[in-house]
Amino acid sequence: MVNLFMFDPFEVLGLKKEYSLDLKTLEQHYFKGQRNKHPDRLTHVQEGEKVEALKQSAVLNQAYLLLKDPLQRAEWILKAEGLDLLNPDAEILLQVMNWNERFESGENIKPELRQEEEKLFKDLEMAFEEQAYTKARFVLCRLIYVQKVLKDIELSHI
Amino acid sequence: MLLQLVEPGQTSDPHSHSKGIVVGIDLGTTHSVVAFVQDEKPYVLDIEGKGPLIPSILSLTDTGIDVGVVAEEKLSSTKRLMGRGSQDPLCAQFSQLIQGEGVRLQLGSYSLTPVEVASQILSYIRDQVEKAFEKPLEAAVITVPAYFDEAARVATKQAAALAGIKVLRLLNEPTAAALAYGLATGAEGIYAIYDFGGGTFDLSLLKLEGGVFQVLATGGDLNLGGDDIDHAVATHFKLKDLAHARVLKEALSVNESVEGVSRANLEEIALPFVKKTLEITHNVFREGGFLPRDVNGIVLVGGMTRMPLVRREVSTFFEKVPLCDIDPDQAVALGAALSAHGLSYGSETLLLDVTPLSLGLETMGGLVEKIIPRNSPLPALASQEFTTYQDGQGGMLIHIVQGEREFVQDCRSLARFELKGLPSLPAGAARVRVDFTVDVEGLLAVTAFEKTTGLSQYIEVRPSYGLDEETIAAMILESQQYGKKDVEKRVETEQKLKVEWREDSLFSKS
Repeated sequence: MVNLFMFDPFEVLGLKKEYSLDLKTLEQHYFKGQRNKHPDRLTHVQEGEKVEALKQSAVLNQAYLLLKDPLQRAEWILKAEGLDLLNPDAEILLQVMNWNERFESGENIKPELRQEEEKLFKDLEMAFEEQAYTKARFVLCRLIYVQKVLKDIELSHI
Repeated sequence: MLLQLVEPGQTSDPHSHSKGIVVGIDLGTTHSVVAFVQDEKPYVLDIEGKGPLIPSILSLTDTGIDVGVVAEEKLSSTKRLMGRGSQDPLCAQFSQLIQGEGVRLQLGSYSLTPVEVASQILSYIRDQVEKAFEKPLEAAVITVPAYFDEAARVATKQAAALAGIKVLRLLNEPTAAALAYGLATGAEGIYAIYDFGGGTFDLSLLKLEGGVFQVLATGGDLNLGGDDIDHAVATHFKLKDLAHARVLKEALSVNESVEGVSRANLEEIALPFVKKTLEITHNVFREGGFLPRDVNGIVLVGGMTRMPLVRREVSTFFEKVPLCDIDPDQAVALGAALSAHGLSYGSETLLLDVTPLSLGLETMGGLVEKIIPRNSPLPALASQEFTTYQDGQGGMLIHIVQGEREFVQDCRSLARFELKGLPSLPAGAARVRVDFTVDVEGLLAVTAFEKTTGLSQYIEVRPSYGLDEETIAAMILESQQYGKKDVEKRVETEQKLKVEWREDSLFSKS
């Protein structure tokens, strides 16, 4: 039985455990895995093996989805280093309130948020490169909130 | 090349090393198409010199009920009722509906479920295939709208079982069309499949690369098809006959004016429906994080895409002229045939599809907690842990729903079952892990596992009015005994109102 709480997505896809990941490479490994494990490819195997293959194929999907999202990817690596997600500090909460107020008063804050997002992604990549996990955790927490505000803004346009 | 018709008898045997033939079946709302692969190329089957389109109509004839002839008294578009309950608003579109338990339709002295109608059509298809190839139909890939829910998928499989057809796999219609298009043209990149048929609308976004067909996102509406425009046309022009409305609609795709009705008149009526398809399209793009201009091409599928208005609106939306070098009525069947061939004889092609609807569990206050979000790649696996809230609690109720809404009442109820025989433990001590698996056909299975005692239970989820496997087996037996057209003499099978699962496999020690 595959335990989703325990699995290592990097290992599942045969990738090095690094934050920096080229999406093209990820996709290649994912497709290669599915070529071996996808139930459509195993129509002639025994019934019992089919169930196991289905699970392995599902785990490949799970690993692919997790690693495709840079935030989830970062979170997983940090957890593996024994660092849980950080609770937001007063500074970021105040910043979020400030953004929300400005947005509600009609200001176009999207370019500023996009810029901030881009900067934080660079910081995150750098922190992982230097194996500065505590710093990475701090940046990730901010990134999560910036993306949340961006998403809220986009949803409010509908 | 793809659209060429081949007389099967005149060419070399495509599957000489096997005893039967495998085909792809597009079981459509208004018509069905069957296709096969020969020399690695797919062809549609010509039905008795009348072309490839088989009306999905069951007619009352002098000798009983029949497919392939269209009589005055008939049942049509019943695919729209697959997997539906009798309370479904769509039932109002069917004047033959018999009031009472379940969904049954009257045809002469016959009373048929939508599954039985579909099985009659599939039986006809099987007969045609076996006549054309002079060998048994071994297995088939049958296509379903991408947006079909669990119940409608299970109903389709039941219809095939009743017709004695082994289903290699259910395949989503837009995915099948993409396969036909991609393999015929060698196209690579991101493609939108705009599938507007008689009963349903589907929009799928696929990435085609190196033989991999990866569905990125899908969306649709099961209550949005050419039929709805027919109803609107009939109402607007006070036409009694729906078929008349359809003929008028179809003729106006070719002519500017028919029977004093101009194309502009029709377009005014059809526009809201077309706009709705574009709204769905817009949402698929937004959710998938893509822009219409990211798309390399748009493939049109389904009879409705013959309407000039649809082509115009789609072109405007994508700022690109849609591709129609593959017959919109045949693309799905051709893709299904390619899939059937690949599954039987091996293939370098890989289809990675997604689940169209979210699966969730009922939590406190009738809220839904999503466990497998829509557009998750298939197969999908999710695990959830539960515990007891009372000392010595022996059972636990689990309610699985499908849909996007926040409240259980707004979603489709798939199954409600009780985990029984939990060990007597203090509140919160029992640890029940429930695994949900959705297979490549979009069908759900649930396994429950109690960790402290190692008890496990396997549950096959069935729609609440579905038939269990034994009943199906009995029905097949009866249909063989009484002849396939003798539906009436068949012992009526009580529709099960409960969730079915295998009692004998409950809580066996693992």
